[in-house]
Amino acid sequence: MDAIEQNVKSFIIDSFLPGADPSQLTEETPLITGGILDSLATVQLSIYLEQHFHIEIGAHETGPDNLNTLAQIAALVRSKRPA
Amino acid sequence: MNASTTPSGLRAIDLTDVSRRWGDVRSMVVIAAQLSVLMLVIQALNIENPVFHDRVIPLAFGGAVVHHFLPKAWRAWCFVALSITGFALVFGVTQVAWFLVLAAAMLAWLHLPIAFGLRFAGWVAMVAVLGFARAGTIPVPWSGALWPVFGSIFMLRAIVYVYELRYQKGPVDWKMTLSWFFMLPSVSFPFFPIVDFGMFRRTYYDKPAFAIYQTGVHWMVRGLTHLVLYRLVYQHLTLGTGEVDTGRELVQYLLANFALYLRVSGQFHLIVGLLHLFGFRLPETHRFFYLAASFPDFWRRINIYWKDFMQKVFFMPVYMPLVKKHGDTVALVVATAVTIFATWFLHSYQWFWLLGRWLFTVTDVLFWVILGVLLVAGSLRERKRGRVRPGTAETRTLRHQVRLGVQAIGVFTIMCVIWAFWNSPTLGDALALFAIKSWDWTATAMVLVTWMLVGVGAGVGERIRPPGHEDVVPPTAWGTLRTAAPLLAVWGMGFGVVNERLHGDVRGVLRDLQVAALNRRDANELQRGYYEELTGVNRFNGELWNVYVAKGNDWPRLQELGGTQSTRDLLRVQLKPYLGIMFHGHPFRTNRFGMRDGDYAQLPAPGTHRVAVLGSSYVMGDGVADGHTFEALVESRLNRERPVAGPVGWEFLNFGVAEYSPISNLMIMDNGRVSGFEPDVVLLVGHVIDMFTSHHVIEAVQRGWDLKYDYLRHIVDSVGARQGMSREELKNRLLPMEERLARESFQHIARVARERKLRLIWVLIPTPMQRPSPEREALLRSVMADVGIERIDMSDVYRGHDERALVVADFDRHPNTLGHRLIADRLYKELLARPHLLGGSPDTPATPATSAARP
Repeated sequence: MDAIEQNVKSFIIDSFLPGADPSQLTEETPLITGGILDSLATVQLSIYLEQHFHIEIGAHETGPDNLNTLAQIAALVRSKRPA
Repeated sequence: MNASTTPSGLRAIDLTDVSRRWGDVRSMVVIAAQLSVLMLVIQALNIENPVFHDRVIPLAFGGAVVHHFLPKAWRAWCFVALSITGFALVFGVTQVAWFLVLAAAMLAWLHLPIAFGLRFAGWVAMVAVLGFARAGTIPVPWSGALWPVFGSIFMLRAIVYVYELRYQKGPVDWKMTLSWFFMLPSVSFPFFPIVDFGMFRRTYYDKPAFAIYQTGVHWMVRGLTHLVLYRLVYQHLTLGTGEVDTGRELVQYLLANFALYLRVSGQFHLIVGLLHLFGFRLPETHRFFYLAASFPDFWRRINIYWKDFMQKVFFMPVYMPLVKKHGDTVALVVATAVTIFATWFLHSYQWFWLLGRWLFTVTDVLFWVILGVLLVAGSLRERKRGRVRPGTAETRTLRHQVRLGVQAIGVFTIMCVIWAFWNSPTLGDALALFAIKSWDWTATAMVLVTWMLVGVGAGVGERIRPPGHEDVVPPTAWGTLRTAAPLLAVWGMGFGVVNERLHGDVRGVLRDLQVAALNRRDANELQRGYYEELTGVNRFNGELWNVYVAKGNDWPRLQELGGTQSTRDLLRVQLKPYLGIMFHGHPFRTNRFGMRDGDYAQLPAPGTHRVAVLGSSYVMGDGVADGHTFEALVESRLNRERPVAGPVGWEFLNFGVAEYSPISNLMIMDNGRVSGFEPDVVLLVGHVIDMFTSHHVIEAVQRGWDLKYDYLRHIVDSVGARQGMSREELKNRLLPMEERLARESFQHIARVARERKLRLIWVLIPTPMQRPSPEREALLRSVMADVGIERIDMSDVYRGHDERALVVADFDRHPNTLGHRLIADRLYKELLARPHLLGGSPDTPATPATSAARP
């Protein structure tokens, strides 16, 4: 798990899964389709990503295509950061 | 099989590859064995419709096995080919050609290399033009039967596609695009889940193939279980709004009404499970929605694909910009309002494409407004207090589970109530439900047991099976077998040896679980809809809804074709003279007197024995050609065979008019229309339902017609029914008077017959595929006996025949040509057994006679 994934994982556990066993949240745990992130939580996560990583996320990018797993989230962030 | 050449020149076989392929074959044998059993169960239980169990299932299951052994690059194309084959099997090659032309035109336009805005505008214009065609304003060369499927695919699915196109990067993957548009189950399920295109592509073979297939089989079993449960509810627990008088009935109505949604969840499981067999590992469509602990939770669990569609296309695009400018609360309220409005509108839009008319009712609007308010309130509460998500430490505390249980009871109860509003045709119907006359301990017990089940289920449910479970642990064949056990038991108990040992009541319930048929209430509703303009059909009363989807708008009533003229009085209508039209696929002509019959003289020629046949659409011959009505067949046969000596000839005059009730027949006997033709005998023919008159009186009161007869005025006055009241209110007042209305109507008919010296015989014929309530039938017999009307009982006329083969269509249960022939044969025998009705004696030799003219 790289730094981005670790960072996002901490945010998700602190914000949405307080008290959960961190080892249960892997790179491939389904966040949206698994019911951990609902629509409001997805927006909160998007805003966090925008503020923390200084990127912009469009409404069309807030679905399971981009935000369903830590690996996908990290890939989205990497694709939007300046090279 | 891979092979390579060794230095010695011998070809070496890659044993790993051989082993993998054999492993594949073994695994597919396990899947195929399950699919074979599943197919037998689906066919034995007549799941959903013949198109599904006889055509789609064999094609899909056989195709899935072949499909797996194709190279991966070919599989999606194989799925497209199977899907189009499915359409061709159902609609025929010509209709599919039209379907593909329309699809090609729409896709070609959407992919033109022009600005997205122009493509979008053009697509909207296309939808509008097709909408006019759907409404019947613009004639089209393809069959009306194509509309529901076409609408399901191109009018809703295309919205998702257009949204995808807006943000699509890279080349179009046509095999996935076409796979998604033509998904094989679409041909048999017009009410289809909104499968997200991105999800469809993303989950394609994203896990090991056999785990995906096994999940598919598992979900299909779950779907079938839901559908069998639905049948149990539909056949044995549902009540009509007019049947709710006591607290127990109210509770039963609310629970059964909400439980009917099992049909949608069952169908969606079946559809998505079937797609798994082709590698599409789609997520679950419903998740224990009856156990939701808040309204946002309910929205997340019920029809998850719809929620995802709304979230993607409406909620997020509104919420994201607003939250940055105006904060959470404003964004949440506005985005939820937009989402709920879009949901309401698109449900009505979907309804339009499926049934050909828009759904705009007060109860529908009210339901969405209430749900919208509850969703906003619930979301704001969640935002303020935070939401306890599965997997957190708090979910394992007793306190949390108790709270969850209590909340679930509240949500379930409120949903039951607003669901009842949603499915009521009018606000008056909905409010009338709650005007119960009594509440007893059984009602209390039913409420407490339901609350206990919901509370405990919600409290411990999340621990047993947290969300996301399906994503993590695919089912095994043994797990599927355990899930299938109740279903297999229902199937197994249908076999003769086992079935014969069961109690009669159990056999009756089992039979209802194994047959897709209208329950008694809906069968009556279908019959009544013929007279009353059906208003009670809604998206969850299952079988009846299906029937109406199949009916489409190609099946007009006679008055819509200009075949009748209104009399603007209690008689309602009469047939126009000299008609020559096509009605329900057959020539329909009338004589100068407005009878669907030959051109008779006003008065019978000497030596002619004349029989007047009175009744409704069965007598008129809705659904058969001129000359094929049972009265015409009997007349022809009597004149041809001359089994009774006496008269020179027989003339049967058809006074039948669609929608006539006993009151209409009383009027045409009383006003001289019948006696003016001097019949020797009057046969009053009808089935049990059209012998009752309350719908006629309700219409008369609503329209303010003169009731003409004192007995009608007294009955109407005695219950306080008056013009201006809602139809439901009038029903509530007049339905309890049905027995009195029937009794007094027939007393008057008998009196008029005596006064006009008409020999009156009541002929009872049944409705194919429908059994009236035994109480009503007994009541009618007792009324006729009391009034002293002679009876010919032909209630077993269809015995020994498959009644499905005797009706015009599933949505139109008038007897077809074969049905009329059976009735004619039986009536002929009944009349021969009563030679006095034919004006002669069977002992006297007969001489040939000429048949009366026929149109």
